Amino acid sequence: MGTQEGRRSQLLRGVLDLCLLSVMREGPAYGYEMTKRLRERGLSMVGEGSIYPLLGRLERDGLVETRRAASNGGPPRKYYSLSPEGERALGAGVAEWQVTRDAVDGALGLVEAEVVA
Amino acid sequence: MNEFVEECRTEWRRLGVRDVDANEMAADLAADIAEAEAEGGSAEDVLGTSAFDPRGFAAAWAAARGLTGLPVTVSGPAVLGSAGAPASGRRRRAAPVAAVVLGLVAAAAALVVADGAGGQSFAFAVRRIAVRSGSVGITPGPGPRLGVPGQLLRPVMAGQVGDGGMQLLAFLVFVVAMVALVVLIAVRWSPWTLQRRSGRGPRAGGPPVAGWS
Repeated sequence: MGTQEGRRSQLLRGVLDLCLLSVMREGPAYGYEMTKRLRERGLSMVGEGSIYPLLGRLERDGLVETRRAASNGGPPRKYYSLSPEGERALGAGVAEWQVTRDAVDGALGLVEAEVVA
Repeated sequence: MNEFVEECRTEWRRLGVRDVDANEMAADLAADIAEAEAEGGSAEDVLGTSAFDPRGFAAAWAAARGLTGLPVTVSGPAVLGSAGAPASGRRRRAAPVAAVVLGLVAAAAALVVADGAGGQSFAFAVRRIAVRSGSVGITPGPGPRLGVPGQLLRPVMAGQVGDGGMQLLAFLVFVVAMVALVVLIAVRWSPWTLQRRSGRGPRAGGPPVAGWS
């Protein structure tokens, strides 16, 4: 794995739970469906690890609720949706992410200006 | 069934995951992989790099769901608002709680002993425990000496615990609590222990991790 991919993995590692909670907010989804939703937003799991262990942790921590239901023409799937606690965690996590992102942007913005100049 | 799923099943069996849980995970995984393949993709589209490490993936998933006795790894993202504390966290809190309890027990026992010693002040900087014929005492350096008079020892030695027996009992409790406290501190927070603990990797004892856990 190259340096750039490694860095991307490390950056994603801290916020992937928020990304999953966020795509669940659009509606209940099963595992692969969430992978596809993430891919539509530019977060391909190819080259990254699987989301299943993270979903397991979210479920264990009570941030998501699950139910088994039939999928479109396929076998019954386990659908994940946000729990009230997950909603609160998502809100708090997004606020924390925005503060962090702004601070990092402020620091990296200076570096970029120097490089461009 | 998919070869990857079969590998996962083998690992879950090895880890002692219940059949009902293993069946559920296997069914979800097989359905997702089948859907990806039907769309012209592969297992890698579903599993990312985990597609090349079925055993590690299976172990990480089962551990994350709390289906094995293995500790949950800390390599994944911090889940905000986490409601459950891992067992290792409870163990980490047990030592400080035990130290506080032992300290309180020792302090309470010391008060009882001090009261029985005629109101002498109690010094905590104990230098040595002196055992002499007829009396047992703690000598805190040059300061006032706290002791259990020989009169208190005699009824106990004779099997007759009277009023003074409480002071002797308190003294013994104090000694035992202090020894236990010193041992606990030495075991949990000595430089050697802290060095050994910091040398461990975060995944020590955990399952191999392939994926976001």
